[in-house]
Amino acid sequence: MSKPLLRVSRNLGPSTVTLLVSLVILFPIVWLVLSSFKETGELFSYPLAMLPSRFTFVHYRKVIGEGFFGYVFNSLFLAVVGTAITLVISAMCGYALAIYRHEVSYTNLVFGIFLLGTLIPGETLTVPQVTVISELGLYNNIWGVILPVVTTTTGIFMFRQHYLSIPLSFVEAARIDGSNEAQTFLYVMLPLGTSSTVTLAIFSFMWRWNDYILPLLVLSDQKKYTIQIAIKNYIGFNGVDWSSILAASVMSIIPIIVLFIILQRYIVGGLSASGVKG
Amino acid sequence: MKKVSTILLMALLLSSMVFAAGTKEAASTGPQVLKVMLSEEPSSEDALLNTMKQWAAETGNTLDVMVIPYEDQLTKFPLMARNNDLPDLLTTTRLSRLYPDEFLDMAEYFDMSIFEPMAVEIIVQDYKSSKKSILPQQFTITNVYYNKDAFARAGITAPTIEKPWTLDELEKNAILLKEKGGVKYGMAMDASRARYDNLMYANGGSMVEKDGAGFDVAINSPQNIATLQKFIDWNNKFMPKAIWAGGTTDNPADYFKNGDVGIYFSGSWNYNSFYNQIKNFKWGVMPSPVGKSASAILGGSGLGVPAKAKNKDLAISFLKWFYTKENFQQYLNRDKGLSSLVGVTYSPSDAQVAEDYKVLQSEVGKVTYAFSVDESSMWRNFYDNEYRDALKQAVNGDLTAAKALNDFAALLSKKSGWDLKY
Amino acid sequence: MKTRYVKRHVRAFWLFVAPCLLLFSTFFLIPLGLSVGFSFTNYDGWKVMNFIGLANYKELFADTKFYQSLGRTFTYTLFSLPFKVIIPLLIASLVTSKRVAIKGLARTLTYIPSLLSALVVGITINWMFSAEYGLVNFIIQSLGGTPLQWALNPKLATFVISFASNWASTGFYMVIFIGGLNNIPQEIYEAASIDGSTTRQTFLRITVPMLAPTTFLATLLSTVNLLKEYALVQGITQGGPGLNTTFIIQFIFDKGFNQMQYGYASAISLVVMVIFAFIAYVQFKFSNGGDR
Repeated sequence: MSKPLLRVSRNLGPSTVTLLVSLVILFPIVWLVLSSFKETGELFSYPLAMLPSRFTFVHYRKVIGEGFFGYVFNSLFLAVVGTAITLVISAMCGYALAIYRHEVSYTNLVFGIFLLGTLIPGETLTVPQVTVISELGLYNNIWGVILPVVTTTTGIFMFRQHYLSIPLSFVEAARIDGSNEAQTFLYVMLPLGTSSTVTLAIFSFMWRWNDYILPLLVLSDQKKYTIQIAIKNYIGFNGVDWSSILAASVMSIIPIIVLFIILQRYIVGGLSASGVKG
Repeated sequence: MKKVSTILLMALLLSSMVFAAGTKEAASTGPQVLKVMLSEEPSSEDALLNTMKQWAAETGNTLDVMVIPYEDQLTKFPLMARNNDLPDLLTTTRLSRLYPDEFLDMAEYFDMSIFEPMAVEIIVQDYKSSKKSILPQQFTITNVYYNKDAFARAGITAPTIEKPWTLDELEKNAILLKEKGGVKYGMAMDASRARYDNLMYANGGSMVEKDGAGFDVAINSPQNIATLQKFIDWNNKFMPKAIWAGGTTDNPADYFKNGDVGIYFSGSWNYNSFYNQIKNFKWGVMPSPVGKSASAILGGSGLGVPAKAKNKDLAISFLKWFYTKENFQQYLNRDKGLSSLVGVTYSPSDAQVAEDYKVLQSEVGKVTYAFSVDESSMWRNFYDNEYRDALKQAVNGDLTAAKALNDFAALLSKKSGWDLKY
Repeated sequence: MKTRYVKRHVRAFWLFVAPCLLLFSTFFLIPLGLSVGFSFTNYDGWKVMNFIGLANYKELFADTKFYQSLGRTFTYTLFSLPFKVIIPLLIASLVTSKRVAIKGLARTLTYIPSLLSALVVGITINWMFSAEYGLVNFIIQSLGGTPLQWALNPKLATFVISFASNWASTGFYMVIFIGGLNNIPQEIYEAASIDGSTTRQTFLRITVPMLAPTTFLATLLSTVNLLKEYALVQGITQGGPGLNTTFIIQFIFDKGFNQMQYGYASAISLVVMVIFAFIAYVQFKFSNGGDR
């Protein structure tokens, strides 16, 4: 009789905390979304109200009318292709940095070089980077936008950390079975790498979705532009078109949220992912 | 039969070649694409865009409008130049000043006397070369808005063009507005250096002074220090301090729209949005106050044609069309701002708007000689943000007015090589 | 004397690393090299590039504002770092715990703010912390207190940015921690509960140590991201009040990029990069690279 009661009260505490945390985080987002439905003049009229006095879709219609869905398609292409490449090369790289750390003495050095990628303020490299892209003949070429950004330090970092936690005995076991290094990689990678892969997929998709400076500078045709560029274009010299920015931003995060909802079970699932049973 | 068909075939081939050649010729006078670069997404009522669309409809050409945000244009423009991807026409002031060699010299195509001299001097003038790299398109000016209802509540009469206020009267009335006008702030000012500079010029000060062919640094003159000190006091007494001290991204225009500000120092670009959005109280434009002299600062943007653009002839033909009296009148009616073309003015039908427009036009005469001197020295090439930071720190109380300006003067003097006057 | 076995592994290592390394060299290391080159010139972004030797560096090291800006950045990072690591960890354990309902919803909600651009986060935080009409002051006033000057008080302004930074990135680090939590084998937890360990003990003695590699990842990433904070600051305080929230990246922009002084900006960036690299190195050594 007491056991179910105990279970309820044991679960109630953490559940309530979780709920509260979620609400605190959610509250400003709700304001944001509701504000995208307010008339322009009402957005900053004080006191700042939560609910619009009148729901209006005019900003959404305007943003869509200005070609928003075209930009969505471009962002989608960039995100899917970029993520696919990132996943493959980051997994390979992170794996090698972790698994061969005892046989290759300079793995940490190589890792350190990749770490440089996140240590320098990105904007510093924009001018030399577009010079390189231009010299390589990749101006106005989608690969000039994709290739420079698919090597993500965070991705390599994540995979490396993940593979560091796998006992080398497991890898040895795979090798004894007579597989070469490539086969070993796949043998270790596929069952065990799921959670890191999905995590990086979510992140990479988000990063590519938010890419701004390279698409803007490298692509010549407006029709190839991405969502972030569309949003930033609403910032004027003498004033910011907040209503359009809000509407565009709300629309732009929906696909990633959907992706997250679909994929999140794969991050959490597979609890016995270590697979090291002996 | 074969002979006939051969002859027919030859005739067909020949005629198609002639036709093609003919079409090619027609192509150069037929529909072409004008690639235009703007710095922000134009709203549906944007004056320039709508006028360009009108041109496209009349001439049968097409527009290809691209938007590159202002700050990114500095990186994009060189890249476009290197890759032969330049737009045919663009709106700018900065690019033409930075890279005059990249633009066509408009003086070769236009008689510059058709433009308002003030517009040419402020927008087009380049102190590095005598080239006229752009033509003045939009012409803006600083001006002062006021809340008529608040004035009525506090029993204040607005100044007129004939009888503007002194700076002391401005201060007195701002205090009165805060106490009795029912507003939160007697006065507010855009957090833009140019707006503050009007106070400096009105008080007889300037950034530099001419010294023969060169310049002396004058930013830390006694009257400038006094101006800044006063400004700090005003911020503490009746202005929204956080705007100028930094720490917020609030736009004082929103405060004004809410009816929380009695007097608002801003510019002509806000007029339209106020007109469309303020419904709760009566407002208007008042002439700016006069210190030792009056002061106003002009701004705007111009249209330029890159020298290596593909369709530069098309761009020139558009400009020729644009700057005729009838067409520019249409543009001005949409823009509702100051006119850069002689002989064309905007005549609002609304009586109130006409009143306000008269005040706006009267501000043009207030541009000071000191401002022109400062602009010609191009001091911003040495230090720009540092000046703004000095003002911010002074208003915030981190530095005294004297220290802030003395330090900046020392910095500017060192970098530019100019002597310190004070 | 390397065995053929090891040689094969070394070759495999290079093959695996090759794609990343190639792309990285082309699109990062070479531009970095160019940037080093620029730092010895007065490059303006396009037309002007004259060799000026160490002049940029000399000017930088003599500039007190540089050191002040660095100092503020370090203070801000130190202050915000614990929250940036601990809060996501706690949330991650909540949303993976078996005892919590509505996990999926909570996970998604927490993740949403990290999708928003800095611009949009800024406007949202302004709504909350506006001194005049913000929500927080409104609540404080309703409870009878005096509204706080979020924009004019340097400490409060820094706090607001810290809050915004946390709000906007918790979801990201939460996901990283969830990944790490899932690497811990269930058997260990089962063994612990059989041994009668309480939740707190289990968490502190088992979960946290086993999370070491992930914690290192999260700590290093958050440190670097805090040090580089810029877009968010621009959206909230723009470096004010005065210069109190002008951190180092803004310094680079104000001094360099915004005034067309790419040579100088490159010099500052390189110095800053070296400093950041040193901090990263210290963290690396301290936690042994996260290797257990």
